[in-house]
Formats: sequence, C-alpha cells, structure tokens
Amino acid sequence: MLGFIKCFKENPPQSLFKGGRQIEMPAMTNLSFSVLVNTAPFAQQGALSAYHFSKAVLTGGYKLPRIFFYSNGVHNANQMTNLPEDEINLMALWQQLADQYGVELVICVAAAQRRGLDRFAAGFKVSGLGQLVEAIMQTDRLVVFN
Amino acid sequence: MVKTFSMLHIINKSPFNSTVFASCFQMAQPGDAVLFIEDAVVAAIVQSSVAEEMIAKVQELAIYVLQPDLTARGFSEVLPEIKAIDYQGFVALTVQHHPIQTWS
Amino acid sequence: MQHPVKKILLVQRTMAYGTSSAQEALDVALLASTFEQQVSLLFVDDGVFLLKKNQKPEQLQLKNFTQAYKALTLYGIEKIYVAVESLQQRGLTAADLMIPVAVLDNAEVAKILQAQDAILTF
Repeated sequence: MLGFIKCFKENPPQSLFKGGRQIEMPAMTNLSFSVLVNTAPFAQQGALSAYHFSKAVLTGGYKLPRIFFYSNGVHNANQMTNLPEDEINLMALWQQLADQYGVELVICVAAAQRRGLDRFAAGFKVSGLGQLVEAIMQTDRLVVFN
Repeated sequence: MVKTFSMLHIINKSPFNSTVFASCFQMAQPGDAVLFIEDAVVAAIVQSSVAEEMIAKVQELAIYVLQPDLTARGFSEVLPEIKAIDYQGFVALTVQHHPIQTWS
Repeated sequence: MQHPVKKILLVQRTMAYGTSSAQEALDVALLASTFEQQVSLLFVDDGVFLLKKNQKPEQLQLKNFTQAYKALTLYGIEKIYVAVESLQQRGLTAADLMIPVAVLDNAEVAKILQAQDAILTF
C-alpha cells in the first residue's frame, strides 16, 4: 500500500505537478467527497467499485455525507432484489455502510419511475436531482462510477 | 492553503473493446494521473498489444492500476512502469488530484 | 457555512436514442443551473451527434429531448463546447449543429476539464 495519506500529512508539497491550477483547499484531513452511481448492481461492476471506494473513503477518515444513485444506479435500491445466497448482496452492503457511517443513500425518483421501480429498500432515501447538485456544492470531490 | 492540482482520469473499460483510452489520452495533460479500474486493468498487463503505448504514456502521465481488479481477472504481474494500488491508494489519488473524470 | 459557486461540467460522449445517457445528463445540467452553479457542457466523440440539426426521432415514437439544447442559454448555460476532432472524424462541421458552440481543439478541451470542480459523465 502506498503511504500517500501519511506522506501528505507530514510533507505537504508546495507544487507537485507542472501545470494544474491553484485553488483554496481545506486541510487534507477535512476533505469531503460525493459519490455518484449510475449503473445497476450485478449488470455492471460500477456499483461494486463505488461501494469499495466509498468504504475506503470512510475508513480513511474522510467525509462522505451522501452517495447519489441516478440513471441505472437506482436499481441498487430495488427492494425486490433477490439474490442466490452465494452471491454478493450489494444492496445489503450499502445499507450496512449507511448504518455504520451515517452516509446518506439517495435515489433519484424520476430515474426510478422511468425504470418502474417503486419499492425501495430500507436505508435508501428517495428524492430528486437537487440532492445531487447540493452534494456537489457542499463537498470537495465528486467521483462518478458508471 | 492554496494548492496546485492536476487531474485524475479513471478508465473502466477494456482497451481492446473500447475507444475510451484514445479519447482519454487525447484530453489528458502532462502531469495528470490516470487510473485503470474494472475491465480497464488489462491495459497494464505485460506483453499485450497495448503495452508499448502504455509505456510511452508513462513519460507524461502518472499511470496506476487497481490491484483488486487485476487479481479478480487472474493477473498479478503488471508492466513495471505502472503502479498497482489498492482502494486506499485510489482514495489517496482522489485526494491529491482535482477534478476527477470517469471515462466509460 | 457559505458554499462557493462550483464549476460543473457535463461531458457527453454518446449520441442520443441508442442509449438514454444524454437525456439523463441534460436533466442534471438544467437542474444544476437552477441552483445557480456554473454549468458547462462538453460534446466529444459521439456526443457531437447530439447537436446535429434536423433530428426527427418522433417518427419512432421517441421524445426529441435534444430540442432542449436550444434553450440552454435561457437556463444560463452559455459555455457549450464541442471537440473539433470529434466533428471532423464524423464528417461534421459547426454549420451542421443546431446551436452556436465553442469549437475547441484537444489542448483547449484539456484546459476546460482541468478548470472544473466537478465533472459528470454517464
């Protein structure tokens, strides 16, 4: 494992790269993230990658107030999901993440309705795109998983 | 605190079946970081037809590959020019780079 | 705590009708502009087809959502970028597009990307 985080806390670089732009930043340890998930579990790997990434953000001590599920990502909240026992239940993993860290899991209602989803698993909040925009406004980093 | 940042590009599709690599590399600037995840990790394997191109790109871009996705697909060895990282390293890249673009 | 205006870029790399990505992306762009954020759109690769004049999806019972691109300036979205190489590869020029756009080369696109706070792709 590369000790990036430790390295940066001890030796904040003045300028790492050629080019790039200067922006005001909070201290690295206060960095906050938003995650956008646009693909369904099982059908693509994006949602699983998003889960592992989100977990690493939270265990790394960074803030992740909200994960937003849009487009086919809304399927992550489908209460009717029924998986064989030997297969990963990503929906349950999302719920555990929310329980353990208090991260909000938000589903876009319009995208869900388009896809005929109306039964949502516990732990997921059904809302609108405004929550995605607010999350972007209020955090330092957006990472998108397709 | 004012900091200087370069971008992070995340690619998740195979270089053999998709054109995202070409698109990403056309838009990436020297000093940017690129991370291969999911199916894109096969771009980092030794002796493929894209290996030469990846090695050339490392001159300008910092290229990383997500180890768990390689392991899932049966690979442990990567081109020495490409750094294999785990999810903690992935998070570190998103801390150090801004903004972040997903190429799918 | 005050939140600054963020620069939000939506990158369109796929064309309409084959998949729904572009339509769902446009919904985000329009919504974000109502929050007074600085929203830009970048059309690259097959995304340039989204702006082609003369689209008639209705005869397939498809919604012509691309008409909304003509209303972008009404939403305060003025920064609309198109990659010139993507146009050329597809035999198109700016004259084929339904709205005025800023046509950029790859180096200029790279600078636009770097200047953003958040980049959304679908």
